[in-house]
Amino acid sequence: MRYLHHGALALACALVFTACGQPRDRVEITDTIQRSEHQAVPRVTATSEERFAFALPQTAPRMPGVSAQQAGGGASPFAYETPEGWTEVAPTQFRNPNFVAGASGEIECYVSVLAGGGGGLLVNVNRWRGQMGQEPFSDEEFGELSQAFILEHEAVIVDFEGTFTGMGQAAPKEGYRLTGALVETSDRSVFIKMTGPSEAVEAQKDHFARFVQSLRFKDSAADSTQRQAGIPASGGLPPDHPDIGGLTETAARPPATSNSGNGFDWEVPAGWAEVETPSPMRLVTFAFGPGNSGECYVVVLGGSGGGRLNNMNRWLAQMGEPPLEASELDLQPKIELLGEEVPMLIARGMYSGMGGEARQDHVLFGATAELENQSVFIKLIAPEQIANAHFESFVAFCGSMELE
Amino acid sequence: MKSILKQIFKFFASFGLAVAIFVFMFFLILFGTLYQVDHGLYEAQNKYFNSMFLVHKIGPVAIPLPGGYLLLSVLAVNLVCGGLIRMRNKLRRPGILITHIGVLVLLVSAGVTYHFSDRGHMRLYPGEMSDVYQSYYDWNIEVGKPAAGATLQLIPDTLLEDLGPGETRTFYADAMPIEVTVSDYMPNAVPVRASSATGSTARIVDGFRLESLPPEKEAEMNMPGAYVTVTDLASGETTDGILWGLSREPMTVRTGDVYYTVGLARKTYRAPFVVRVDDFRRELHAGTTMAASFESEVTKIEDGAEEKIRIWMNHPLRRRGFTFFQASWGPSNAGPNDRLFTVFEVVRNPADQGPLVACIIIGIGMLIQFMQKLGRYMRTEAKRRAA
Repeated sequence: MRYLHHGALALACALVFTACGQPRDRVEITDTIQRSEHQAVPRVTATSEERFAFALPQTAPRMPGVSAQQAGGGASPFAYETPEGWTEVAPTQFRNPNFVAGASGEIECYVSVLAGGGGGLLVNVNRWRGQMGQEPFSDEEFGELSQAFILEHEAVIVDFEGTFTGMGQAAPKEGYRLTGALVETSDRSVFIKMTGPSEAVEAQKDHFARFVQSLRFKDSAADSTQRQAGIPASGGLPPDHPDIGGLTETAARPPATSNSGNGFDWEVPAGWAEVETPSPMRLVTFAFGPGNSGECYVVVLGGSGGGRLNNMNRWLAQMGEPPLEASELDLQPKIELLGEEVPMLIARGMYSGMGGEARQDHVLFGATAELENQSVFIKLIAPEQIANAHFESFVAFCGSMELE
Repeated sequence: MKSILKQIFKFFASFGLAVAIFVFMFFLILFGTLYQVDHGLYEAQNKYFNSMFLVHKIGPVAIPLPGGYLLLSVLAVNLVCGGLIRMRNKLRRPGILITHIGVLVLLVSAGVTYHFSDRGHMRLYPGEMSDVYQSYYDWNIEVGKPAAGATLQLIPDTLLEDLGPGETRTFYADAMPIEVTVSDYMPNAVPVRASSATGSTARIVDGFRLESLPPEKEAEMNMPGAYVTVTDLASGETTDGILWGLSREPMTVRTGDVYYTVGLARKTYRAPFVVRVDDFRRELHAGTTMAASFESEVTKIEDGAEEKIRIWMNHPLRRRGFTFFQASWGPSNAGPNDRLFTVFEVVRNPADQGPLVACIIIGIGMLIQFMQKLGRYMRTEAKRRAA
């Protein structure tokens, strides 16, 4: 009985405590703070349009979760290069930038941005899966998706075939393909999506990869809190990045039909054969020597791509050699590349490329050129004797490279 | 009465209570860690560790549990009653006594930190200076004149969070000629331009309506919003508006010739000195675009006196109870020649050194206890060999 009384008393106290904690309908303000002289004084004439500029106000109803960065007719938050053969069309609240491609504009490609997590990458991958009539991925299956580095963040790459039923679409479309990338940054989620008939999408995959590689944020006005060290714009993957699965499995880059690509011309040295490149980040790959044991390839990245010294030291690390100091860069032999004299790296040792086995007694030749908005990296790796035999070819190849 | 008090003391001093507390703590840590995966750190901390009671759900089964705050409070009482007052032969076992005192110091430090500390961030470009830092999670509606040094009346978000759809609460102050009525507070929202397709129940103000968004896993990314009606007490005129956390400017109302602004802003704190960033440097890991280190050269200005200080990772600025940590930098997509800003995490915690002191006390206590044990063992062994 005693315990019943105690229990009732405790319950009554809890109820009173709870009731006392509830604010009333009219509350007197008791907290104040003095505005610091170092804080900006608010502007009194701001309109609602100006006040909510970061929300980029819409002219049509939006789905919950649509980012403030979506522009229904406004400027895109991205800088990018429009691929050849793509037509940029008017942006919408969900698509900015917005493109059509293909013979009759049957391919759609666009970028969407959602504020914050946008529900999470898995949720959105499965939303796309649902649009393609596919079963949703489990956590495990999601974890096996290919990844890439896009917009200075880790991105998930997807590639589905099926019957496509897009939002607001009347009839499902059979034989379609969806290729895309999903990126989560500190304050928003970016979705880059291309859909169309399977064969037509297949033909546009390289353009898609280059478009994705060229994407950069214009500004970070919506960043409210910086939670991680930022990564300057590099415009894409560094050289030797592992294959990015979904964009490469079926879209191995077809051999160029001419000695050029993506704005560059070159002369192919004797004994070099262009091969299918294992990575869409490579502009072109050549093989030479017995059993194609030698390889030389070109990568073009937006911006500085990390800089000459950093990349040369990364190559040296792959060869097990110590890094160069900045002052030692000028001591390297010079070759001509894209019209200027640039240092050339020569390294010997055990080559441990990213994702590959260690290869003994190899030689690496490397050179970089820093252009206005992009950087070019040319790397040759081969067994020592073969590399030495193709030294002149490497120098000649670099010297022959020019902008289209 | 005396026997009741004795029973209560016996309960709070019992070893069994301590064991029960530790068992509950184990489950709290387990459930809280799992909860954090989907709901974020801030939510998990508030629900499991800062609460008195909570309900944890495993499928359809709801399990009521004591919260971390309650458990640690009871543990502190248990420590005092059982570990200090009731412990037998405590003077002959000074090591255990000192260890218990150290644990108590740790618990008290945690309590002081919880109740009396604040934490925020300060973002500055080189050349800029400030004495203001902003909370990551807490928000205020600020009402005041648009003038430097003006006094702002603050309505904390804790007085708004319970406002559901259609519910209102009015705030007033003697110093204000206006009243602010807040309704439909949304912890995460975005203003959208209203159109003909907007549902008839949506409240539209100046061509915009507020749309609620799902809460972000990282709570600091939430941007709250609310509808307000400002009443001029002299004329009775009302002005409707929308407040939003990422709004570029606050809402403005005019009473007579005087303007007032009403805005939703992160809770701000003032440091007793100004920090000016003179330089910010960032180094990258070779061969990558990942930052290896970043540091700020600042000048602390207080009462006209200047002091040059370098702040970098694991080397914060500590002055007057405030600690400035080099937290991060940006913008995240900066190019090689872009101007960078530095971000400091600013913490004011009166018990900042409490955990360190507690660990030292515990270490001393355990050392004494182990030395005593060792001495007893050696004496026993010596006697046994002599026998």
